[in-house]
Amino acid sequence: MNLIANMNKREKFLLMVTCAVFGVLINFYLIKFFLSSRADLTRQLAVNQAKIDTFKKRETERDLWSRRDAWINQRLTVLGDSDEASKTLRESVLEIAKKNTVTLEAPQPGTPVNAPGHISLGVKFEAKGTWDAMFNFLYDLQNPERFVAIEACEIKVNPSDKTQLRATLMIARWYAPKQ
Amino acid sequence: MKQNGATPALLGPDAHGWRVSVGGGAEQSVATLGDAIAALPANANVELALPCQSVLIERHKLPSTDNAELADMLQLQLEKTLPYPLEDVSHGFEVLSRGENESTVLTFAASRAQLDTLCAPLREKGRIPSRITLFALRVAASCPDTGTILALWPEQGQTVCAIICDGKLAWAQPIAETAPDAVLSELPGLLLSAEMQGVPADFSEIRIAEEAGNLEEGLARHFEKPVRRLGLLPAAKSDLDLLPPAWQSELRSRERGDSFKQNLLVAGVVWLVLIALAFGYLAWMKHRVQLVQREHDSMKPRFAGIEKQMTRWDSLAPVLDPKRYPTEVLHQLTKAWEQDAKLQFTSFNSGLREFVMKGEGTTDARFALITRLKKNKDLDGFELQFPPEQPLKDDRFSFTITGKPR
Repeated sequence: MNLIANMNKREKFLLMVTCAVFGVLINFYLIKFFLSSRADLTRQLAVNQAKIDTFKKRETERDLWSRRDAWINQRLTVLGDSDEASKTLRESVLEIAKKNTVTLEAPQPGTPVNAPGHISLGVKFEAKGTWDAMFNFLYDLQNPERFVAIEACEIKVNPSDKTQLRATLMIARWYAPKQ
Repeated sequence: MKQNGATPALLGPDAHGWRVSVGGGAEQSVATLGDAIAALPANANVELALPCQSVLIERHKLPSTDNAELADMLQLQLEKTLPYPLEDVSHGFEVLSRGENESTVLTFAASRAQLDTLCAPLREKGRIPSRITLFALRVAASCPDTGTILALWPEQGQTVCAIICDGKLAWAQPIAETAPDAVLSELPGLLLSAEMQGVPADFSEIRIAEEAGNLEEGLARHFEKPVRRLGLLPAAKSDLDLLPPAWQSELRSRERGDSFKQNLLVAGVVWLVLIALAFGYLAWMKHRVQLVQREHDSMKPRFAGIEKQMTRWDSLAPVLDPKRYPTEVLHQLTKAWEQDAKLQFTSFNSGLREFVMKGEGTTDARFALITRLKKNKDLDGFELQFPPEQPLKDDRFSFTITGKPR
């Protein structure tokens, strides 16, 4: 206190300005720290609360997911002879194409591929047909019971005849992974 | 620096040094003013009652009854009679009586230099008195409101002799002795000079302080009047204040400083409380987050099985979920597409993780298509993206629409 009492007016003014600037800076950093911490904690709280809400919702769906899992176990078959399976897939695709008046060319059978949760056995085709025929063909190809995926598909309008579509398709049958 | 606050305290002369009275309580005798400061509480509002020897008291008869005029006249009068320049003097006056056109006043003047010396111990400690009066005025206030009284009391090794008329101090003079013989020998001469100044000298009684009890016998014999003891000394009735203006402004400045410090302290406390509340709030929030986190962690093992089932379903979604079939996606896209003849389909590529559709059309048609696609609930399972269009000729653009499973 004696130090302050011995100061002249100018020194006291400078001290006050310094203290004020220091105070403003401290408050700025404190407020910034408070707001960022609060935002972070609020976000963490919301995220964790959302996870708990999701768990609570899943509790009501436990039966549904058990039934779905059982359904998959029942329907997703194990791959036996891959050549035989490939032939069967090719024939079934050709049959659907024939039914929908789509022309399939250059079939290229693939080899079994291990993917997470399944084994994929595919066949690649070049397809030609009208818009409706192509749509119906693709529609008939897939069905949840059949476990058929169109893993790659490239459809283009035929530049010389815009009523015709040309497609390159990678059609695969999915099987259960080996235990 | 200490603060002059609410507790009233009196510093006045006593027989040998100073007397200190705090809050109207018992008086305490101390040798010096420096010792008196130690006896004062920190928040005391100090009134300094000066001894008679420190103040020049003069009686004047002036041709006015108006206080402002009297003040001006007295200023001129004091300039003539005082041995110091008027700027170096703290002065005041009290009206004793008012006639039809004239007033009798008693002036009090104290040299600033003498006040500076006297009050140096107080000011050094930051204890500026809030008021400076005369101790004799307190003695006068203790006397009855009627009659003329001769009062004698000792002050710092001297004896003060005062005449009090109708409860007001009419005249006072210090005698540089306390011995009864010396006082009694000087008294007649002093009273004669007072009478010559027009002070009534026909006393109804004589009052002396306890400490001047040795004068009682001599005074009773000399004046043949009853001699009584002065009672408790009340506050002076006079408004006299000899506090120099510079001290007043210093006092006000210190009070402002004290007030500023107090406000600063309150603001500091409020700030600290707010900081504490803010950190308390953050601690409470963190505690809540930890509670919820613990609840989540405790629930997690129970849902491990269902999580696995869901992951398996998701990995098989391209064959199980019709909304993910390229046929279905293409159907939804063309349904939106066919509503506008300005749009032209070019190509559609689809994989397990993304589809890309390309087309041509005008900007408006593209915008309308995007709006329709965003509203389509059957495409909710995809995160649609619309990269910028590429210009062609004839105000037409080629554009792309991509979608990734959510």
